[in-house]
Amino acid sequence: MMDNTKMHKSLGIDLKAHDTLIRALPELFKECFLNKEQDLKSLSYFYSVVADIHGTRVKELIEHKNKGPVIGSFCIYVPEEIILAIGGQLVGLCAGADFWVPYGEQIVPKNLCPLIKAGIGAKFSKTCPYFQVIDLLIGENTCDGKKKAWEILSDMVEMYIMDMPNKKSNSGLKLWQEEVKSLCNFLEKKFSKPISFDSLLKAVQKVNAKRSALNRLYETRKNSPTPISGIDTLLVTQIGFYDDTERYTKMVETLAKECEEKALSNSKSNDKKRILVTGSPMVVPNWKVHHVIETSGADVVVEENCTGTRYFKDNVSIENSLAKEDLLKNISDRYIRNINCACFSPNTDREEEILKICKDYKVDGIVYASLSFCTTYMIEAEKIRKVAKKNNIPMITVESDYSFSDLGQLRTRIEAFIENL
Amino acid sequence: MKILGLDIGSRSIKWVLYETSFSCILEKGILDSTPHSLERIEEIIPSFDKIGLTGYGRHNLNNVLRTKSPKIVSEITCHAKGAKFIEPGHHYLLDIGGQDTKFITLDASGKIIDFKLNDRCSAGTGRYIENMAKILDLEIQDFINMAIKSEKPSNINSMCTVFAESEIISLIHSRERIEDISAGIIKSLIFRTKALIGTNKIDEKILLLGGLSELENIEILFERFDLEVKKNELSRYTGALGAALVLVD
Ligand code: SF4
Ligand code: SF4
Repeated sequence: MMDNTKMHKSLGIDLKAHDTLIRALPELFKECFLNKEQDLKSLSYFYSVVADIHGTRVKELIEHKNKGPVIGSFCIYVPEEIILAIGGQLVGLCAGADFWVPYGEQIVPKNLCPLIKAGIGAKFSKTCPYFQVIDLLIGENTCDGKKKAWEILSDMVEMYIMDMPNKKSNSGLKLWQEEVKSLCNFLEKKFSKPISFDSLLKAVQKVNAKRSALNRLYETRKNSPTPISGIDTLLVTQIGFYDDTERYTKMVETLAKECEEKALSNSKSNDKKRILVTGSPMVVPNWKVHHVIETSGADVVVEENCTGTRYFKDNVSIENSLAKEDLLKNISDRYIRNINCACFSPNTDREEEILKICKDYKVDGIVYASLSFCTTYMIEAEKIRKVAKKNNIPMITVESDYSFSDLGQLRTRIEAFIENL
Repeated sequence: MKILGLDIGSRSIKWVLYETSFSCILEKGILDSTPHSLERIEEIIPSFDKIGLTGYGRHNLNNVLRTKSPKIVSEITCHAKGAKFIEPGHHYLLDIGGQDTKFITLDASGKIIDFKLNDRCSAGTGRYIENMAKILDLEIQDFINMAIKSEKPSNINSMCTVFAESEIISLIHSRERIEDISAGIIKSLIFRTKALIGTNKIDEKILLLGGLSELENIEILFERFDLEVKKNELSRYTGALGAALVLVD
């Protein structure tokens, strides 16, 4: 068996800097996950994945490279189905650690969102094995920051970029359908492997199963009290971005089953306030807002963001699909119609979605958490605030990055918000 | 029953001892948040039956006082409770503290309907005024007295405390009058506060809380820059008082 150091060396990792990064994680992990009561046995799988975040999975991906490519992405618009269909593995690059931000700031301006700075910093500092292991990175032109960041990243790693419409109009849908088709053609050529109807259908079914499993897990959170904490669910969802799809699906199903049973047998009620978290994505190891909310006496019962319901809420239809083209069209439809990213204007579907979620999950209050300098989500907060107010749902907006320097202020705001619900 | 409310701010610690059977304050006190006073906190505070903690250091002190099973409540809730006790019927509270500025809106019954806090930058907080007075080599009260004399407040444009410092130094070098610079500093603080509040004019007086409220004539300066505030002799203690009051009933 290859030990991690050897493996990391072979990936060209800066071992010294990597040591510092890895040393910071256990403290954070302990504080957020291990120092609390836990009665869900099936969570141990997910905890172990994070505890060994730069080990086993990286090894698997290196081994996978003999069979097919490993491809990275930064956004849930990049269709996993197509990557699986050419025998590839998709990894969502996390870029959720403050450690990488100063590296990123050496290259891009300070007033960008931490996700972009950390993403660039992770590659530049050569400390993330996932960045090192990928054969290709697929970018998408969602926000301006990312659009320009790809130009910089493409000097460090091979990139393919998908264009995005700004409107969900007919021409917008068309543009995206073309983009999905082009991605498919590009990958077939690049990795000299045709995608057949069967392989694509299989891939669609696999990813659909993953989404359904997550749906089943989130369903259990509608119970009061919720059988699983918000921060644990966030961790589970985050792992979905880079774990092996089939194994992950099984593990989520086991966990969902355990949560269903726990909810059924739960006789003691609690009067904890139920919180919806919405806004920018929260990628590993960004657990900050959930941690503060749940150590202030409330439960996060659902997330309307890309590391929450947006990731899995709708499946790709396979009905009446007789040819590869039909499937590709259904894939593009699923992504473009159903993900309510703030990069779209207008984005009124998100308002309705949030109201519906509040009702379904019996939400008492909304914490709108935006990453600093994430313009689209920050601006859209005003629209959501109005809608929430009209429907008598209290909401608080917080803006934060990955550092811990504002933890005190964040806690004061969130505690006061919860106390007044 | 005696309830102690303790407000552990970034610059000072306030405490209030409240007697439930008479609904009144028995004693109150204030000391600097130095490591020395934090270490001796248990000797300094009077004896009590129950204790509530609030303020910046509420979670840290919780570890020290854990055996006394304190209740921990955020400053925002405590200020609202305390202010309702000392000035019932006031709808707007402005707390300019050592590290942050808070603006709280209450409804007629004293319930919080909205609150806002400054971002993590210190411009616009009490600390800002303190630092600037130091640069001018003035005690804080003298600095206020100076500012009142000004007829032509200087312009200070910087949003950041550090850059504002260099701006002030260059104003000193270009021989601007100290009273104008002082007034300029207060003006920039008040403009920042107005931006936080989010409206130009509020039709009611705002109750001023926090360290700034201890300064004589500060309300005159606020009025000069179109923000009417009112003070109460207990303005400094609303946090501590509120921390005690959350334990009543
Ligand atoms: S917020 Fe928008 S751009 Fe960012 S990951 Fe989600 S869908 Fe993609
Ligand atoms: S959408 Fe927001 S969080 Fe995502 S990359 Fe753009 S600015 Fe950053």
